[in-house]
Amino acid sequence: MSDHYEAPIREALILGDKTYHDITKDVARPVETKAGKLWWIAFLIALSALVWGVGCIFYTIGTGIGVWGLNRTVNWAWDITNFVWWVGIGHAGTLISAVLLLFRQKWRLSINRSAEAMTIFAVVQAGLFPIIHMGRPWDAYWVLPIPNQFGTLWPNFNSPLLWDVFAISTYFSVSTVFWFMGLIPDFAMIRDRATKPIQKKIYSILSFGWGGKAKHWQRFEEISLVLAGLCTPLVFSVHTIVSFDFATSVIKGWHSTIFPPYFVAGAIFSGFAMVQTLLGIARKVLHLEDYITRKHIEYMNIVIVVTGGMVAVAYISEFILAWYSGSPFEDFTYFSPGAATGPFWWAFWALIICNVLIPQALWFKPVRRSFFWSYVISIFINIGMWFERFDIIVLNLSHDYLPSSWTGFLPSFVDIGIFIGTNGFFFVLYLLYARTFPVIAQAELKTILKSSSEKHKKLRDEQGHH
Amino acid sequence: MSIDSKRKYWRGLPELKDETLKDQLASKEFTQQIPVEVFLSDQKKLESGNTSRRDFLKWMGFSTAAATLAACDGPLIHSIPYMAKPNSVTPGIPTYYASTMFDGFDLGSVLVKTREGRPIKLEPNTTAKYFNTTSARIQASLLSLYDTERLKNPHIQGKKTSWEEVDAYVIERLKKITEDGKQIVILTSSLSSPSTKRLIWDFSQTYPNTRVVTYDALSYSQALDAAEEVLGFRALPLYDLSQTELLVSFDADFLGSWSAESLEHSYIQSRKPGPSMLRHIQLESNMTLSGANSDTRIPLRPSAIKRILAEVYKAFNGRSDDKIAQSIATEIQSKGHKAIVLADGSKEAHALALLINKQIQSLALSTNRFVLTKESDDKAFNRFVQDLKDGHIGAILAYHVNPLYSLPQAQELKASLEKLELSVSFSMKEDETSEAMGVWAPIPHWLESWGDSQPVTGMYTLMQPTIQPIFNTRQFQDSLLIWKNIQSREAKDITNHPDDESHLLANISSGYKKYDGKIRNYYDYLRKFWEQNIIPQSNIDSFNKALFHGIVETRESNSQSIAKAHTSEYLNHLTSPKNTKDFELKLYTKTGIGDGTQANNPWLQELPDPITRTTWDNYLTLSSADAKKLGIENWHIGDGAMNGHRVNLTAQGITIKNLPVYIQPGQAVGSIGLALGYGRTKGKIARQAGGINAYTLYKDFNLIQLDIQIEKAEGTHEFACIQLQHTMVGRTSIARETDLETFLTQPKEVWNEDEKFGTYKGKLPTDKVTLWKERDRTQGHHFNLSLDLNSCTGCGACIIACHAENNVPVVGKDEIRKSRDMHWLRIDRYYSSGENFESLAEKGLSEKNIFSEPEMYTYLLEPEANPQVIFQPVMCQHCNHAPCETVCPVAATSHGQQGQNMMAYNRCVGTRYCANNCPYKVRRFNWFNYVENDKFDFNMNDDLGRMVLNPDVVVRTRGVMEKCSMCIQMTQSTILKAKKAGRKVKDEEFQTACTKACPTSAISFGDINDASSEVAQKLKDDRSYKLLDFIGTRPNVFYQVKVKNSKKV
Amino acid sequence: MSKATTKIVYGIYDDDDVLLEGIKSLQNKGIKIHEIYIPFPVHGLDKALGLKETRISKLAFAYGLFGTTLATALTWYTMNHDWPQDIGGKPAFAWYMNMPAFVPIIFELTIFCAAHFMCITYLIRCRLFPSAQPQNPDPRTTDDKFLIELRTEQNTDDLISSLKKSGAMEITIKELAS
Repeated sequence: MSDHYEAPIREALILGDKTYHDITKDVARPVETKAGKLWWIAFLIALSALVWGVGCIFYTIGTGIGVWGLNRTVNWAWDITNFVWWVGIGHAGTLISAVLLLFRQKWRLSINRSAEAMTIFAVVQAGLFPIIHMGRPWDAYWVLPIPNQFGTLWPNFNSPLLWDVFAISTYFSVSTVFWFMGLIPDFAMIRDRATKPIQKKIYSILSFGWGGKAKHWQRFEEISLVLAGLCTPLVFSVHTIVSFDFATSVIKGWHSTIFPPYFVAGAIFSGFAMVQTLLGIARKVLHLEDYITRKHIEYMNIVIVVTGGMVAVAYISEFILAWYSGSPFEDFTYFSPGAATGPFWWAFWALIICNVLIPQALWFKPVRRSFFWSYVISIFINIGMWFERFDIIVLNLSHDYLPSSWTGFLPSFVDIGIFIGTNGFFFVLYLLYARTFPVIAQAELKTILKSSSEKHKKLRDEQGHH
Repeated sequence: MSIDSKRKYWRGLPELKDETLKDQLASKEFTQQIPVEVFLSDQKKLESGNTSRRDFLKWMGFSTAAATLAACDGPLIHSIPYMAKPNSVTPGIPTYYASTMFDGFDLGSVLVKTREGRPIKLEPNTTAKYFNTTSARIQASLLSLYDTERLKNPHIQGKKTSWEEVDAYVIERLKKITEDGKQIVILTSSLSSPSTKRLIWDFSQTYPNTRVVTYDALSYSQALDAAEEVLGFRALPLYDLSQTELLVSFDADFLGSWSAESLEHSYIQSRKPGPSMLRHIQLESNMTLSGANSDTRIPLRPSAIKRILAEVYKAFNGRSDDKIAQSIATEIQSKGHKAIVLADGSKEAHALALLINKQIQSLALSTNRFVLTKESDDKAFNRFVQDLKDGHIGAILAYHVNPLYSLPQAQELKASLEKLELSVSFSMKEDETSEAMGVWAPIPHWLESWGDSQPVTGMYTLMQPTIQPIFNTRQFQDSLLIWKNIQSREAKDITNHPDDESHLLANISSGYKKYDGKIRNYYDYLRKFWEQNIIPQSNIDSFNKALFHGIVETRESNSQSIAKAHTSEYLNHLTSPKNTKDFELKLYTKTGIGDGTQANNPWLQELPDPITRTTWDNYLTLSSADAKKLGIENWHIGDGAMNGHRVNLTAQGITIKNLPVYIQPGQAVGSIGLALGYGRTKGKIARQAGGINAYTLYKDFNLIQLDIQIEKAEGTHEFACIQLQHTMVGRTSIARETDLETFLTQPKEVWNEDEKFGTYKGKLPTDKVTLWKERDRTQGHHFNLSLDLNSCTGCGACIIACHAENNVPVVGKDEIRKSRDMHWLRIDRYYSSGENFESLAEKGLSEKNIFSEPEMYTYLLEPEANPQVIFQPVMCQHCNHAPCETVCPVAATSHGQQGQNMMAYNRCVGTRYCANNCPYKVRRFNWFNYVENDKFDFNMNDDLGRMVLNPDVVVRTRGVMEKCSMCIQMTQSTILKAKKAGRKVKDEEFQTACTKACPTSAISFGDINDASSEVAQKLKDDRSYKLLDFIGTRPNVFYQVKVKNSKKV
Repeated sequence: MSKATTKIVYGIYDDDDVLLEGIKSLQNKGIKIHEIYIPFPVHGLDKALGLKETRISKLAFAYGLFGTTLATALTWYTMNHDWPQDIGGKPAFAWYMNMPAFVPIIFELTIFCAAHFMCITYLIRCRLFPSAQPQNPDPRTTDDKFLIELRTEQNTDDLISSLKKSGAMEITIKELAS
C-alpha cells in the first residue's frame, strides 16, 4: 500500500519475518519467562555495590562531609562530578524519544523505551548527590519554597543551585510521565496476555484499563507530540542550567560563556554512549537482535561522533581563549599547558584521550557498524566524560586566584564507595526494568512494521511496488 | 580524656559560695512530680463500683495529660542565674580589668575582658608606655587558664594532700636544712616583681642560707653581661626606633624574642613611607621575621656575620678591607646618630654592637631606660649546678622553671635533684621537672593571681586576679609568706650572706624600706609594699587607682657604674671561628611556641609559623643548595599535603635521629636552623605536636652551635603546612610592592595601577561599571577595613585574637595537613622574587603559549635562593557584589546594611558553593563537629576549656560554613552603647578583634560614611588598592601597597 | 419481537489495511460504527471515522501560561516583595530588574505545569486510572487483532453479512446487559 511505502534503499529496521504477533511475543517474553543465570549474577553484583554505597552514604551523614577528600579550597570534587556525569547520561533517552519523534525518525522506536528508562534511572542517581553533598542533608528541604514558621524565609531564586533543583525535578518528573504514558498501551498488552493472577492484577493496575479505542489513540498521539515538543527544550535547558552552576560563577575556568552549548553537546555525547553500553548488553541478554540492528548502532554512533566533535571544538576554544586572554590568572585552568603538565596531568590526558582521540575511530564505517567496537568506544566515552567534569571542578578549584590557597585533592574510600554505589543502584533499577517492563515500545513499533520491516520490503520488491 | 575534664565547674561565684544552690534550682526548673495522690485521693468515688461517664472521661483525660507531661522532660542543662548580682558583674556586659601577663617568659600589660566572671579575652593596655602590645603568645596565655591538665591539688611524693600538710612537711625540712647549714635555693625564672624579690629577701631573714638562682630556658645572660660591661648596668637597654633611619641587624631577630620588649611598634612607626623612612639591613642565617621585613637581607653563616660585625667596627676605627662591611659602615656613618646596630649570637657581638651605638650616639638608646624583665645569669646557674652535684644544696624551690626539659645536661641534673631532701615545684602543670620533685605546690594561673612587676626603669605594673582560683592552688608568694613566718629563730643579719653569688638579694636589701613580716597573705604584703615603696614616688596617689590603671610611672633612673669594655677581646673572639665545612646551627624561637612554656596551648600550636606557614611541628631549616648536595627534598602528595626527607644530626657527641627537614628559601648556605620549645614529653597537646627538643643542642646557652654534621636518614616526615605555593606565580597585583624611590618620584599609576574594565566608553574604573541599579550605601554606617602591607610584620597576634573573639575551633595536625584549617584570618606569605613576566621575557624565556608550559613558570613557581618576603593578611573581603551571596540556594549568606557580608549559620545547609565561588578562599567549612568530639580533643572538648568561649558568638555546628564577620558583635554593641548615651559613635570606638590586637596598627577599621574617619582617609590614600578588583566583587576590605627602602649592598 | 433489546456485534479483523477497507464498505452501507479497538494507532483511521481533532494541545498551552504566571508570582513575592534582601548587590528593588535571574525558574515551571496537567487531563478524559477495568472487549485487540463494535436493536443478520463481506475474520454477537 502506498501509505506504507518507504524507499527500498533504506535499510530494514526490523529484521526477520515478523508479524504483529511476533513483536508482541518478543516484547512480552522477558516478562513472561524466568530470569536466566546471567541476569541473576549481574543483579547480585549490582545489588552488593548498591549496599556498599548506601553504607558509605550513611557513614557520611553520620560523621560529616569530612570523611570525603575535600578541603578548604576544593569544596566540591567527586560529589558534583558524579552529579553532572549522571545528569549528562540522563539526556539521551528523552532526546531520542522527543527530538527524534519531532523529526519522525522511525529508528527511535526500538530503542526509545530503554533509553528513556536509562534516562530516568540516571537522573535518580544524579538527584542523589545534591542532597548528600550537603553538610546538613536533613535540612535539604529548605531549598524548596515552602511557607515556614519564619514567615519571610524563602530560598534564593538567584542561585544556580536552586535553578538546578527546579530543572532536575522538572526534567525527572516530565520524563517519567512521558515514559509512563507510552508504557500504558504496552502494559495493557501484557495484561491481556498475562495468565498468572498476580501478574494480571499488577499489570491491570499499571495499564489503567487501557483498551485502545480509536479516540484514545488519537489523543495518545497528540499528547506524545506535545510532550515531545515540551521535552525538547527541556532537555536542552537542563544541562544548560547545570552548566550555569559553573558559568555564572567567578572562578576562572568556570566563568565561561560557551559552557551551556558545550555542556549540552557533552551530555548528548555521554548519553548516547551510555545507551550504546546498555543496549549492547540488553540486545544479547533479551534477544532483541531483530529490533536493535546495525542500522540503529550506526545512527547512534553518528550522533556520538557529531556531538563529540562539538565537545572537542569547545575544548579547543577553551584552550585558545585561556591563552588569548593574556591573563596570568588563566594559566592553570583545566585547559591550559599548566594543567597538562601540572599535578593533575593524568586527569587532563585521560580526558583528551577518551573524549577526543578515541571517538574519532567512528568516522570509519566498519567501526561504526560493529557492535563490539561501538561498545568498547562507548565505555571509553563514559570514562572520558567523567574526567571532563572532574577536570572542570577539581583542576580549576585547586589552582584558583590566590596561589596561597592552592591545594590538591585525593578521594577518600567514601568518595569512591558512593560512586560505586550509584552505579550499583543504576544497574539494579535497569535490570529490574528489563525483566518487568516492555523494553520496546511495541505498540508504536507495530506502526512501522509494514513500512520498515525486512519482510514487507521483500514483499514489495516481489510485487514490484515501485 | 581524663576523668577531671568531665567534671562540672562552677558557672558563677554565688554557686561557688552555696553548693546546694545548683540542686535547688535544677529541681525547681523542670517538670514537677505529677499530683497523682491529690487526684486519686477521693477514695469513696474510687471504691464505689459504678463509674460515671464523667469520671471515666476525667480519668481518660488525666492519664493522657499525665502521659504527655511525663513525655516532655527536656535535657537538664545546669545554667545558674545570679541570685544576688555582684556589683561588678552585669550579665551580658563585659567587665575589663587591668592586669599584667607574666608566665616566666613573656610579660605584657593587658586589659582582661571578663564576662559573668570568666576571663574570655586579653587586650593590650594602651595606657602603658612600654610592654603595651599583646603578642600571639600573650593573647593565647588566656587559654592556659582553662587547661584541664593543670595541677588541681598539692601533692607530696606524687600523693594528693592538703596545704596544711605541705606546710608542715616543708617547714620542718627547711628548718633542718638550715641547721645542717645546707643551702636553700630558690630556682626561678627572671622575675621582675619587686614585691616578690622583697619577699624572698624577707624569707632569707628566716632561712639565712637562702640563695636565689635565676634561670631562663632562653637565656639573656650574654646580652646582659655585654650591657654590664659596655653600659655599666646589667639589664637590657631599652631601644626606641621611632627616630631611627637606618637599622643594621647582625643576626638579631628583634621582632622575635631577641628583645624582651616588643620593638614592632616603634620599628613600624619609623617605617612610614617617606623621605625619612627607616632602612633596615639584616644579616642573618635563618629566615626570621625581622629578615622577612628587612629591606636588604644578606644571608650568611653565623660565624661570617660575626666577622663582618667585627669588620664594621674596624671600619669605624681604622680600616677594614671587607666590601660588605665597608658599605655598611659608610651607610651607618652617613646616618650618624639616626642609625642603630643590633647584634646577637654572643656576649661579644652584643657588646660590639653597643660600642658602635655608643660611638655614633644612637638616638635609639637616648631613652637611658632599661628593660628589667630579664635577669638570666648563666655563671650563677652553672655554679648552682656544680653545688648541686657536690651536695652543698639541701632544698630547691623551683618557680616558673622547667630545667629538666630545657637543659642539655638534664639527665645528670635529674639524678641529683632526686637526691635532695626537699624539692618543691611551683608550677601550674605537671612538667618534666616536677616529676623529679618531692613536693608539688601548684600555683594559680596569672589570671588568678596577685602580683606586680617593674618591666622598665620607671614603670611598675600590677597583676590582679580576674576569677576565683579554679583549682586548689596557692601562689608562690603566699607559700613563702607562710613558710617564713615561724617564730623559732632570730633572723640573722643579711650582711653575712654570700652576696656575690646573688646580687639579686643585694639589690633588694639596698632597695626598699623594711617592715615587720607578720603579714600572712600576699595581697596584704603587696599592697603594703606598694603603699610604702612605689606609690609615694609615683604619679598616682592610691593603690586602688594603681590597680585600676594597671601601671604607674615613677621618675627614677638606673645608677650606672663605669663601663669596663674589653674591645680587643671582643674583636678576637668574633673573628676567631674558622670557616669549616660543617654546618652552623642557629637555634631560634617560633612566634607561636616561644621557649616552650606554652607548648600545651592548642591555639599556639595551630598558629602557622609566619615564615614556613607550618603548624604543630619543628624541623631543621636548610638552604636549597645544601639540600641538593645532600639529596634532600620536600614534595607534595596528591591532596597537596607536604612531605619531606629526614636527616640525622650530630653535634659534638650528641646525635638526633630522623630530624625532618624544611627547605627554607633564604636560609644561608652552610647554616641550619632549629626551633626551641618542641619535643615536650608532658602535656596532651604538646605531645600531639611532637617535634624535637632542640634544648639538647643548647650548650652553654649558645644559640649558635658550630661543627654540626647532618646526613640523610630513612623515611619521610609528614608536615602540616597550610601554604603549598610559596610565590605569587607572577600575579604581582595580589600583594603589591614598590620601592621607596619609585614611590616618592613616580605617579600612582606606575606603582599602584587601578584595575580597569574596557567598555564602549573606554577604560573605566571597576566601581564605575555595573550591570544593574546600584544600592545606596551612603546611609548609616558602612564599614571598611584597611590592611597596610607596609606595617604588617606577620606576627600573627591578630589570628589568635580572632580565635579568642570568634570561638574559632582548633582542628589538629591531621586536619591541617588536609588543608582544613579553620582560621578566619590568615596571613599569606609570598616569596616575591625579583623576577616577573617582563624581566623573564627579556631573558628570552618562552612566554605564555598554547603549546607548552611557559619556561617562565620554572622560575615563577619556585622561590629563589634569597627571596624578598611579603605578608598579606586575608580575611573575608565583605564584597558589595559578593559572589558567595548569589550562589547560596537558601539565602543563608546575604549583605548587611553596614557593608558586612553576613552568614546565618543556622540557615546554612552546607552546599559549600559559596566557598567555591569565593575568589579569596576565606570561607571555612565545619567538616566535622569540632565541639564535644573526642576526635578533636582540644579545649572545646571539655567543660573547662569551653569556658573560654565568647558568649556573644555562636559556636558553629557540623556541616555549616563560617567566616570572618568583621566582628559584627563588637560593632553592634558599640553602636548600642552610643545609642543609649544618645551620641554619635566616635571613630576610634569602632574596633575588631584584629585591629585591637595588631601591635603596629596595620589594620584599621571604621565607617567610610563618616568622612573624617581614619579608614575613610586611608581609602583615599594613593597606596590603597583592592584585592582582585578586576573580578568586580567590590570588597569592603582594602590594602595599602608595601614600600621597600631597598638599595643594593 | 416483544421487547427490543440492544445487540452488540463485534467484527474482528487481523490486518489494519483490511480494517480500513472494511470501515469504508460498512459506512457506504450506512452502518454506524459504534467503536473501534486497535492494538496501535492505525494511520488514516481518524479520517475514515471522521473523528474531530482533539483540543488537548490547546489546553496544554493554557496550562503552560498558568505555570509562567505561577513562577512570576512566586519569584516576585519571595524575592522582591516579602523580603527583598541584598544578595550579591543584585537589584531586588523591582521584579523586572531582578528578572534575568528568574528566567530558568520561569521556564522550568512553565514546562512542569504544561506537561503534568495535560497528562492528567488526558487520563481523566480517557477514563484511565489505576486498576480500572479493561475497556477492550477482546484481549487480542492489544496484540494483533482489530475490532469493530456495532450496535443495533433490529435483526443483526445483515450486519453480520456486511461485516463478513468487509473481510472480518470472526464475528460475535452479545446482548447489551440492560
